[in-house]
Amino acid sequence: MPLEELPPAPGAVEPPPFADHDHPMRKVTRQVAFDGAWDRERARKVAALFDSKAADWTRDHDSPERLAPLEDALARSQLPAGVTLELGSGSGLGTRVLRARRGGPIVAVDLAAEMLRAAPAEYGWRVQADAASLPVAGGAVAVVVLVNALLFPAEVDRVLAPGGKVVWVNTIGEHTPIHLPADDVAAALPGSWEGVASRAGTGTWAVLGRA
Amino acid sequence: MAAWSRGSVGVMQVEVIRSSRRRKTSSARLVGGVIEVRIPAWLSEDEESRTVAELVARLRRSHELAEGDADLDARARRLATRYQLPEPERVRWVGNQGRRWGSCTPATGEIRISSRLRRAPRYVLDYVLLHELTHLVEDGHGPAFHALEARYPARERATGFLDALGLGLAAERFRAD
Repeated sequence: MPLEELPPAPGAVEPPPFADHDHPMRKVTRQVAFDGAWDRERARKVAALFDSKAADWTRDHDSPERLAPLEDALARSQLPAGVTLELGSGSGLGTRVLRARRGGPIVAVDLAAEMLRAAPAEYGWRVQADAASLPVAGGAVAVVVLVNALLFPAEVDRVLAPGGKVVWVNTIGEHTPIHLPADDVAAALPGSWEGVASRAGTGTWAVLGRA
Repeated sequence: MAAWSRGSVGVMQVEVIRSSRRRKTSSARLVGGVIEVRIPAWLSEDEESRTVAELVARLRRSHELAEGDADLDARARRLATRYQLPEPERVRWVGNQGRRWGSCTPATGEIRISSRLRRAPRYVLDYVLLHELTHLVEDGHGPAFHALEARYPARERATGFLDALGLGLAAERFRAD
């Protein structure tokens, strides 16, 4: 079994039943992760969408129970020192947790410029880029963090150093619009991956490394 | 000179007006809850019934004069009660909302929902209804509006659903619930 399921963190919320597997955002997430369904037009549309949401993003998404899975993932797993790269960092809610929990450089990448403008500067370097082609040298990153983000498996694999880890978080678990189960993250990444997964707050997390 | 006849198609009343001034064109429009069809006086009875059926069907499609309006209205009223919001005056499906999913005129208490959402899951439809019902008490999208709307538990999933549809990133085929 590539992913070991840890017991839920104290206070983890049992989610309501889920029966919405053809949620269109979930389909898009799978298309991007497994079929590479991404081009400039899609990138432009997604950037415009999240630009339009930037002003209210922190207000709508900043809560301890949503950030608990990222906190728990960092607290309960062994992560190498070095550069932390957060993809789809939005208005910096996850970056704030990373700054508090990890030393070393933190780079926060998002496609939407307005999101990066809404993110406080003190949490890390803010870089506007398409995660399908990152302006990052191969093997330069110790930990890649994705919170409710689209997964571009080849790029994550390319930038991750040997022994590096991928932290995958869905802040409201299966109910997160941009969502993949941890096993699917492992399956989408090139090669063979293993790690641990659990629940905390309202969400789910997984920490994966090359097997 | 015009000859009149009355009948009904489905639940709608239809009034046929034969006009000697009309040569070729027939037309249908909704007047006070009755579909008024105007046809040239020379049409045979067979041609009349075919023309009327066609025009009425077209009118129903374009105005979304569906039986579904009553269900939608009832659904909105139940939500209003559950979320302690005022009951709307009238709720209906509309086909010409453009990119909007719903709209609300607080002055008249009228809410219109895009017929693109007819086949959306109920939690998505309910979110849009609740959003518009909330506009009956709050104009903009400020903190007070947000606080009321945030009571809806599936809000994030619903907005994600609408975002993906709005982007045209996924086909607009989803199951009925």
